[in-house]
Amino acid sequence: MNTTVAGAKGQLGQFYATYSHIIDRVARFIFGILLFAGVNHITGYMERLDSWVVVIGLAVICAFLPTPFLTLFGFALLLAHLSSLSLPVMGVVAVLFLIMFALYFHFTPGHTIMLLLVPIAFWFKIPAVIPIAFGLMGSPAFAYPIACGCIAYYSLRYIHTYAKTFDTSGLAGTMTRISTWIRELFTNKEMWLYIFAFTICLWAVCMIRKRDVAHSWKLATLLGALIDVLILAIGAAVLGVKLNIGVVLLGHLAAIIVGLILEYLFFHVDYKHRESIQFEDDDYVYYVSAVPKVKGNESEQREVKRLTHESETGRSGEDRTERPKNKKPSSQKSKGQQKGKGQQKGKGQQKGKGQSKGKKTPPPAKKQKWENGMTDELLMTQSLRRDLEKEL
Amino acid sequence: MDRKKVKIMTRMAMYEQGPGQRDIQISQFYKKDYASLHMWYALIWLTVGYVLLIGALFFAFSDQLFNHTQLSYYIRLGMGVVIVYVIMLLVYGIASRTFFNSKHTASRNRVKGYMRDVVRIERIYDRKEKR
Repeated sequence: MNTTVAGAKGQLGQFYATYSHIIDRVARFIFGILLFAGVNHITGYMERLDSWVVVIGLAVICAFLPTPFLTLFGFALLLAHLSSLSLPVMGVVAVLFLIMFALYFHFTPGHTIMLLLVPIAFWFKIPAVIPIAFGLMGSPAFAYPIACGCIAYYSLRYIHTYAKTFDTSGLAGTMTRISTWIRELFTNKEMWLYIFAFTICLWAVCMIRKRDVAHSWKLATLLGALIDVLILAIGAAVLGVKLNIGVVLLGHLAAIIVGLILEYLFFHVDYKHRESIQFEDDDYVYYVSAVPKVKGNESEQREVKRLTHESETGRSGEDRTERPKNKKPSSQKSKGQQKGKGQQKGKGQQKGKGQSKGKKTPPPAKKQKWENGMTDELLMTQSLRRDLEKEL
Repeated sequence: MDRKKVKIMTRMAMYEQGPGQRDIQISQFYKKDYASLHMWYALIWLTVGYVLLIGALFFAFSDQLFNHTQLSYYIRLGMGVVIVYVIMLLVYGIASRTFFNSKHTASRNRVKGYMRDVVRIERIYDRKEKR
């Protein structure tokens, strides 16, 4: 079972390695659609922008641009919708984002995507996915972006609830409403409860997954979800916050499934063959635990093709590539080969390639596609990547 | 084709297309200058963010603020705002300095690895020329 699962993962990895430039663009396109459709769903005040044509158009553009442009277009779309509702509201939301940027995001601009991801996760009722996923894949520093994302969500929810009031009342009414909004934001017990719960969940997941225990990622996912549910339940009871426990539990179930998927993709190890080693030097005693990674189907033989011609390298002219037995060897129609053809019959290999009479001409460099679909360059790039990773 | 040379050059090309451009820009600074410059940027951003935050809070709670008539209340409030600002300045200053110091060290180490590869390539070319 384990080897079948690992084999599937290996094939998935090979497929990605072959088509990564297409898959990356498609992934960015799909993520763009989710992001822009989410923003339209949350806001959607400007009718011209609230259409699938705009969503797909922006997603197509973002598929061919670097990832930060996704966040940029997402914010632009959000502010455009809010400007249609009320300019002071747009100004206040822009100032809110500016405060968040000034206090943290100028250190790590890449994390600004959380300001859009967290509200979208809340809107789809699966907010717990965020702290668990980023606890497994990221670091405890994600607590601040997640907190900012929660603040962004509750701001947008307030605007969504009182959108008509912003729209219909005059400037004085709008400013009063904005003042109430900011006050309620800072005194919103539900928001602070979620921020506290997600922060503790994130830190717990980060801590547990790094422990030297078997199935640490699974433990981190399950315990993180449990801690989050407990904090939310106890906090809701103590603070008098109304939470739909059924929805919360379903959301955490989805978060557990996402955590298990992430473990399968990024941390698939074989705990049955774990080794514990102890050794010492002059200064320390070392206790080392080594857990082998589960790779793809290891019974597949790797085919190595020499890129240099045998006569140049001076090695024996044995071609190590395995060819199907029925096919004739590659075309080198020199006299020497034809003469030796009788000798080659019945043998699966082509011997004496460099031994033909006459001139020693190197065979034309052919790109050979392997059975698994990879080209020579890709093989070399992969092996070089491995070397580079080892050295780094 | 020299396999070793191709390996090194591929590694160098991958680095140049990835973090290399940023790392080379960072490593042109002295560590102290780089960390100090970005620490000051961080403190300026902190000041901007803090002023906006206090402004937003003032706007939201202006009704409750203007209900008080005693001057001592406003003095205590002002001192509280200043003390929190000073504490945040200290925390941000230390955190940003540490962060940019480690960032400079990491990028410098990567550039060193890249320069080692440059030297290796030069040696390979020298050997070829001598032949």
